[in-house]
Amino acid sequence: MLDLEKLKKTARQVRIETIKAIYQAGSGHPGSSLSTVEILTGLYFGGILKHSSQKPKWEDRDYFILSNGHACPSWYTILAISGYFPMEELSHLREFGHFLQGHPDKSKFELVETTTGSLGQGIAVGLGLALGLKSLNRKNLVYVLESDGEQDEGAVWEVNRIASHYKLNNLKIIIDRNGMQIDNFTEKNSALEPLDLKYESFGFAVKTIDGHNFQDVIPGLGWLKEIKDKPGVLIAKTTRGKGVSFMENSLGYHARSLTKKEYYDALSEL
Amino acid sequence: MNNKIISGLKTAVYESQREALGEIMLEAGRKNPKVIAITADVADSTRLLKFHDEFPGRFYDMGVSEQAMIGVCAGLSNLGLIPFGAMFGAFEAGRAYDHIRVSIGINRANVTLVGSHVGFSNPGDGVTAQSLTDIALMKSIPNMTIVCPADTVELKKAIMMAVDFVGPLYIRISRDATPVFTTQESSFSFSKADVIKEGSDITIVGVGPIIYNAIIAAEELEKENIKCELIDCHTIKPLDGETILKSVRKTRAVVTLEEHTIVGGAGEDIGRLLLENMPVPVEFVGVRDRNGQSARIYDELIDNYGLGADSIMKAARNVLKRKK
Repeated sequence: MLDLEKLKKTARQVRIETIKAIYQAGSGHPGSSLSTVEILTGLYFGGILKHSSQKPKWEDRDYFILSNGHACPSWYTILAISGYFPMEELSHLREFGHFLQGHPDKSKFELVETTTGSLGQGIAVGLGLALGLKSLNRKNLVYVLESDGEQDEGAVWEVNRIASHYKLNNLKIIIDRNGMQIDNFTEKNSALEPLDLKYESFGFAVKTIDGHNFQDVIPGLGWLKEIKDKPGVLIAKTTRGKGVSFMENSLGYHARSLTKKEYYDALSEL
Repeated sequence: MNNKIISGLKTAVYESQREALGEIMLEAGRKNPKVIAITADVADSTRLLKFHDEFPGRFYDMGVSEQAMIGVCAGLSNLGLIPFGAMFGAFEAGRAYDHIRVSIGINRANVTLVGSHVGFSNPGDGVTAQSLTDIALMKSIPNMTIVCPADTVELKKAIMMAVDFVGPLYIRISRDATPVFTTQESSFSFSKADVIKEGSDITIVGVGPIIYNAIIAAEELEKENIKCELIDCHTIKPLDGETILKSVRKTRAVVTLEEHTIVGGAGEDIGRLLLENMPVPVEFVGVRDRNGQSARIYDELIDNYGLGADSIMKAARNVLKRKK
């Protein structure tokens, strides 16, 4: 039985370390880094993703791609807590020459399966991995985390159509549905809804969950993992900037540096 | 120095690079079971149907989805497979540019992209399908190796080398039949440009099948006692500066030739090489910042856009005057 309290504790630690890293870096994307915390914590610590920090390039690992690369501070934090590298490295986020780039860069960091930061590309590489794993008769699963703003990219729907055609049951998509993109709320910019029906009509198994409640996140990810006949998508309803009241649902916190006051206010809330 | 090239319009055998692609991909597939072919609804046009028929489990048609196609190539390469993504050069380099820049270039993915129907080799279809900017786009990507085989013989060598090559690679090929002027025995490697004819007055550095026009021009110029040295610069990036500079040290005058816009084309790189190392007069033969258009006959476009033997001869005479 999973200890949800322990997951909550981990999620809190992820938030604190993420805010610290962004503050020290002098820039970053706090909004999406905070909205993805429970999804990532659930994947890595909830018994979903097959991975091992002792064997980072383990052949039987599941593949994880952060297609919304801008949320990397929380993903890097998750990797550090998992033991892939020392926690101390997080303080070097965005530093010249360091492997913790502002967006995940495969050429600088071997744990990155593919370079992201240009939306709609991580998922396209995920499609290639899923197709290739099938042709090699390998059982690994491919998890791809996308943002909701990313759904505006045409490439996403190229991939969705093809994944469905090949019935890629090894492709597991999670959408961080925080409802916001850079310029506006997604529904005010160019509406995505009904997003679930769009995926359904493309041939996906679809489920919508509360992306901050582990009682929803863990069964949701478990459902996603177990889908056997088609590609699946888990739409995780989240709040951008979750956990820091003045960042929550605020358009100002997509990408920015944090002032000293914001930093300490955020930490005291967390 | 290469073995003697076959020359003369009347004696040349014409073969299509895309037909050759279909044949050589089969050979590559037989040689290495990791070779996978991917296309975006142009399996027939790129002659990959034969590959599909022999290796159905190693072939993916993405439909008209160039961006997804590039991502799939990158993903397959992550698993140690050897993907060849073949598509019209115009749409591959153009439509999917950012996917190539990031998912193949920055990732240093071990992927070979084949851009077909380049230059004016798809004359009838007109401006959108003609690929006159693919070199410019591809060469701007760090780590990208760019190869423009001069004929079917070079193309076949290039594809077989690509199977073992490590890193992002772009191979640019023509649709219609072009003269075969290199031989099986001719030297060919991605790191070396080939001198295919020796001369002492002018160095002509050409890229792709259009080099044949330079062969004809050189023969005509010979009658005026102008001796051209011809370099088959099939690999644009990395550029073999050593071979080019060695020739220019002797000739002190250069004409570049490519079936591509001169803005961002191979000629620019050759010009930069010379400016930095050995400033001599240079003339650039290529499409001069214009869009393509339809024509029923390929040569109509070649003549109109100034890529024919007469244009090369004119450029050669000009550069010779500037030398004196």
